[in-house]
Amino acid sequence: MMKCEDIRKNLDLFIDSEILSDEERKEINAHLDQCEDCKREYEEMKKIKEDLKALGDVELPKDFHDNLMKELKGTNKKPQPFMQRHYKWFVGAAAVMLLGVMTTAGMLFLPFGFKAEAPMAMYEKGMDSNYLDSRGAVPTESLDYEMATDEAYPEMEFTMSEAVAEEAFEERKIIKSIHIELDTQDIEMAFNSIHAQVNAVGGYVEYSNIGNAGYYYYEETKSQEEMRYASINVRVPSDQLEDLVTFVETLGEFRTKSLNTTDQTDYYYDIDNQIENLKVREQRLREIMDKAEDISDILEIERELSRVRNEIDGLTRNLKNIDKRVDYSSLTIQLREVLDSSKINPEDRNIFTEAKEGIIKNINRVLNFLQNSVIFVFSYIPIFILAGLGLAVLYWIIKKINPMRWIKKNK
Amino acid sequence: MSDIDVYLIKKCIDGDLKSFEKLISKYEKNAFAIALRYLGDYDDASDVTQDALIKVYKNISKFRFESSFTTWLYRIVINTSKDFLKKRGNQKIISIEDSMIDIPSENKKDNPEEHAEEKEVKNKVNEALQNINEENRVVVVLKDIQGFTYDEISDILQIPIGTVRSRISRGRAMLKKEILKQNPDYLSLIG
Repeated sequence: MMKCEDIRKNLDLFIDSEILSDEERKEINAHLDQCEDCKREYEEMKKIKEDLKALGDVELPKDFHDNLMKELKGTNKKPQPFMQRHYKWFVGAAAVMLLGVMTTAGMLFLPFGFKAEAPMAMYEKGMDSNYLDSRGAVPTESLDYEMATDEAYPEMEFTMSEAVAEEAFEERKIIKSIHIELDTQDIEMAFNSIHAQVNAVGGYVEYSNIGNAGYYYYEETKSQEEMRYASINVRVPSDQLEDLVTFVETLGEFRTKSLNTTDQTDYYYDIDNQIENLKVREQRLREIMDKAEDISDILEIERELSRVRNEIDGLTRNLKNIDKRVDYSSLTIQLREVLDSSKINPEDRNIFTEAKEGIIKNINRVLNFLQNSVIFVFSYIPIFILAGLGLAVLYWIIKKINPMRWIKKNK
Repeated sequence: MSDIDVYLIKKCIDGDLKSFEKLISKYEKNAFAIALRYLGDYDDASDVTQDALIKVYKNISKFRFESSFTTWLYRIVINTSKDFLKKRGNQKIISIEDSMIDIPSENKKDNPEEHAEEKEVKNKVNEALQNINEENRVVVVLKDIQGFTYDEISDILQIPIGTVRSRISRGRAMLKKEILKQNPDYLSLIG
C-alpha cells in the first residue's frame, strides 16, 4: 500500500503516463479516489499542465519563413564543384564561341549568298514544319491533364455516392490506374525509395527498369547524354494509392499525371448473374440426373453438367480477376533524370539553345545549297546536250558555207 | 523518421535548398515555440530560431541517420538559445506581455471576451515560467508545452532520464509556487 508521500513522488509520472507499471497506476488511481488532498494536488497539477499546453499554440512571426530562406540563399554552404560555381562563364564562353563560328560561317558562304537565296527560303519552310513535328512527338508538359485529374476526383466521388444510393446492395467495381512522369535529379535514390515504399504499403512491383536514355529522350535532353530514365509499374492496395502518389511526387518535379478509372460494375454483376443462372441450371441437371435411368441419357447429362461447371469456373475466374484489379490499383511511374534545374537558369539555357539551333540551321543551309547545286547541274544536262548539239550544227553550217570566202569572193 | 524526411535530408546534404525548405517547414513552428517559451522574448526567439535553423542547414551533412532528425533539430535550437542566454548574461529582460506573442487565430476572433480571458491566463503562466530557473524551465517546456516523452527529452538534452524526471517535478513545483505568488486565486477555481 502506497502512502501519500509515495503517491506525490509518482504523481508526475502518473500524469505524464510514463514509466509506471499498470499495477502502480491502478494503485494511484484507487488512492486518488479516497484521498482528498492527493486528489487536489493531482487536479492542480493537471490544470497547470493544461494551461502550459496552451502556450505551445504560437504563430510564427509574419516574415519568419521568407527571411530565413533569404538568409539561407545568402549562406555559402560549401564550395561547389568548379563547373557549377562558374557555369555562367562556361555558358557565356560557349555562346561567344558559337557566335564566332556562326559569323565565320556566314562570311565564308557570303559569295554564294545570292544564289543560295531561293533554295534557302524553300528549305526553311520545310525545316520549320519538320522541327515542329519532332517537337510535337516529344511528350511535353500537360497542364490540362493535371487539372482534369484534380477535377476528376470529386466528380467520381459524386457519381459513386449517387450510385450507392441507387443500388445500395451493389458494391461499385472501379479499377483505378494512375500514370505519373517525373523529372528527378537523383534517379537511383528515387527509384529505390519507390521500391521500398511500395513494399512498405503492401504493394508489389510488376515491372521496373532503369537504364540509359534511348534516342527518344536524347532529343529533349541533348547535352545530357549521360542522363538516365526509369520506369516502374506497381500494384498497390487501392486505399494506399493516393498516399503513394503523394509520396512519389515529392521525389521530383512532375511533368504529367493522368488518372484512369474504369467502372466494371455493370459487367461484374452481369457475370455474377450469369453464374447464378448457371448454378440453377446445374442444380436442375443434377435433379434430372437422379431420375434418369437410360445410360445414354446419363452420359448426355453428365456431358452437359461438366460443360456448365467449366463455364461457372471460367466466369468465377473473371470475377476474381476483376476483384483483384479493383483491390490493387496500378501505378505506372516514369522517371527521367535531369540536371539540377535550379543551378542553370532559363535565360542562359535560351542563349544556348538558340545558338545551337542557329548553327544547325546554317549547316543545313550549306548542305542544302550544295545539294541544290548538284541537282541544278544534273537537271540541266539535257539542255546542255541540246545546246551542244545546236552549237555543233551551227559550227558545221558555218564551216560549210564559209562566209569568209563568200565575202572575199564578193570583194 | 519518415522515408520522405530521409530523402529530403539526403538532398539537403547535396546542397538542395528547396528540399531543406520542404523539410524545415514542418518543424519551424515548433522550433520557434520552444525558443519563445525558453527565452520569453518574441524577437529574441525569432532571431535565435533563425540562427539555429541556419546552423542546421550548414551542418546537415554532419547529421547521423541513427538518431531522429527532430531530436537533433530541437537540440540545436535549445543549445543556440542557451548560448544566447549566456551571451546576454545577467541583464535579464522581464518580460513580455503575451498580447504581443499570440496573434489571435481565426476561431478566437468570434468570442473576444473568452479570448481576453484566455490570454490573461496565458500571460500569467508565461510570466511565471520565465521566473523559474533555466534548467527546469527547459524540461517543462519540452514536456508540458511540446509534449515530448521523458525518453525524447533525455535524448534532446543529452541528460539521463532520472535527471529529466527530477527536473520536471522540481520545475512544476516551482512553477506552481510562482503562479500562486502572482495570483493566489489561480487554483481555487478547480475542485
